[in-house]
Amino acid sequence: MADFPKRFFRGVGREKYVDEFNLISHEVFVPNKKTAEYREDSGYETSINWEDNEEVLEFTFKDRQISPHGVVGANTEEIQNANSKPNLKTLIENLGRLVFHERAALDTNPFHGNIVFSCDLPKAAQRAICSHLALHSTYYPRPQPDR
Amino acid sequence: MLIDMKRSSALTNVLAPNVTNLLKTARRELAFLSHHLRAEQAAHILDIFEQELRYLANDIEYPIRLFESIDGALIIEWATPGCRAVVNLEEDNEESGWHIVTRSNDSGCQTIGALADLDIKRIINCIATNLDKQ
Repeated sequence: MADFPKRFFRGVGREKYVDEFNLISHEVFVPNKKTAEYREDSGYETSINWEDNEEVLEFTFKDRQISPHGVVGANTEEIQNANSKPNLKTLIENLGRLVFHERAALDTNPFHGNIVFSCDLPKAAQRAICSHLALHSTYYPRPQPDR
Repeated sequence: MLIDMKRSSALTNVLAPNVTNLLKTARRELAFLSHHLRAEQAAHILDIFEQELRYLANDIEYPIRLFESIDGALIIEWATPGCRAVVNLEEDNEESGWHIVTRSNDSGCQTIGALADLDIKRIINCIATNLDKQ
C-alpha cells in the first residue's frame, strides 16, 4: 500500500464555497461524476494534492485554475474516519468501502491524488462525507496582494 | 406545493432580527434562483426554518445559505465551526435528502435521511448545541 502524508490540499473553485466566517461548504469536496467513465471501479473522483513536502501548499496556490478562491487542507485520516461515521453504518455494511484515497501523479503535478467515492453511494451520503471533510478542514485564503 | 414567495418575504420583515439575519442570505440567493426546478421546494423549507427558528432561545450568528451545486442541485447549507447541516434538492428528486454531521461524537446529530424524513427541529437543535469546535 502506498505511503500517504498526513495532510492533503484542495483548491477552492468558487467564491461562494467559503462564507464570511471562513467556514467551508461541503461543495468543495463534491466529486466529479464523469470520472466513472474511465475508472474500472466507476468511482467518482475529487482531486487533491498530497502534502509531500512544505512547498505543496504554495504549489496548489500557484495553479489559479484549481484554487482561484484559496485552498483547504485536511488530515488524511479524516477520509478513513468518514468511513466509520455512525450515520453511515448501514451503508458500510451493504457497500463496504464508501470512500478511499489514492495517488494519481500527473506529468505536471507529482503531488496529485484523488479522494474516490463509491458510485453506489446515495447523494445524501456522498454529501455527508463531503461535509465531514469540510468540517475538519482548514481554509487558507489567497494572500491579499494576490487576490 | 404552492408557496407565496412575496408573502414569505413580508413575514420575514416582522420577525426577530436574528431570525431575519439567519435567513437573509438564503432568501436573497433564492430570489436569483427562482427559475430553478427545486425553487418552490427550497422556499417551502426556508419557511419551515423561519417558523421553527422563532423558538430558538440563543442567538446564532452563522447564516443559513442557499446555492446551486455544480451538479445542478439546489443546496440549503448551515455551517458552524462544530456542525454542518445540509438539505440537498437534487434534479432527480428521489436523490434529494438531508444530513447533519458534527465534530463531536454527538450521535443524535449524525444523521442522513430522505427528504420525506426531513427534521428541521432536529437540525436547529443540533446546530444550536454544536456551535463551536469541540
